Amino acid sequence: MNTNKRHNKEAFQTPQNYFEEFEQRLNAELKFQQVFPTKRDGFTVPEGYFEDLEQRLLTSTVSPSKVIHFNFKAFTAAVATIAAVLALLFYTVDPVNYNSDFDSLSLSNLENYLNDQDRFQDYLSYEELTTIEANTSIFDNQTLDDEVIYEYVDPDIIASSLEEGQ
Amino acid sequence: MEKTLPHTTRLKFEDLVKEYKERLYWHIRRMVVSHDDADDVLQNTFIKIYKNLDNFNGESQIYTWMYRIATNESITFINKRNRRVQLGSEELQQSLVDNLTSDPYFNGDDAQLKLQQAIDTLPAKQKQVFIMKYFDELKYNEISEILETSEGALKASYHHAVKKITDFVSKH
Repeated sequence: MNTNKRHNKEAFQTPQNYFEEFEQRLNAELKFQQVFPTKRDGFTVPEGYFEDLEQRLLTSTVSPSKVIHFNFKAFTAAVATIAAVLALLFYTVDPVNYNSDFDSLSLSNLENYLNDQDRFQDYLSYEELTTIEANTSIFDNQTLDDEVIYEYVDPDIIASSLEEGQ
Repeated sequence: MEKTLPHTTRLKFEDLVKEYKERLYWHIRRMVVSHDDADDVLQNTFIKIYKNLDNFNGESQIYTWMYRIATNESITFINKRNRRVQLGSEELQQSLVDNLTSDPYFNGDDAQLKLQQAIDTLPAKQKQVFIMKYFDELKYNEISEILETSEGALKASYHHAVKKITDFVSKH
């Protein structure tokens, strides 16, 4: 027996201060369980939420119609953002002659501006932006043509922004 | 173009939704507090799972992979929310917890309210570990896989969290 005990003690070791720390951990856990004897968080959900949830989740992922609706919303938000940014850039780049063209405006200008302003994250996730890029011809060329811009941006928005800026 | 997943993948996805929707919901809910926010984050989580299901490499268990996505989505959401309302994360969490008393989807007693307040005083990592261990009842090796942290560090985090919560309650 004595030999076995000695052998076990030599063969198995514990981390340093294990037993002291074990006691502290045990005491903390016991105190915690006295304060919170039952494991409840108090959160509830609307009635029938989980019954409804599965269908909603499947509709929003598997069903193509829902996906199109989602992309449309994202696209609308993107266009609104781009419109505001274009108006601002248009005015900032050439305040004297703001009727000049958009030749010098590139996609990277827009990206840099939005990144500087930390606006992407406020409106769109990376995935949404990727989806918009993939589905929108405006991003096909690195440089944006005037025609393309006017196709997507309401001129009234640009005009009103310019008036505000003057 | 919308990616079309193979039929077998779609079936698999439907099984995952059926099996894990509630567990992931509660995990997310305890992180973001409000039901409406949890609902949004859960939807984003499953969208991400759906889009990446074909790329899942099988090196980890599928539910730890899903938990990791849910955790990351929750953290991303919390960070965005903090930026949007321009409050410090602690201030915002505090106001969310204070609002619990008038939240129609919270029916906890004083002890549970105190528990939420105490949880929200924890640093982000300790909070995640505490929620996963105490409420989600995940094993340390599972949490280790999800958070990519050693089991020893997780045990220490959990112990600190338990101690801080107990101290908080005894002082308030």
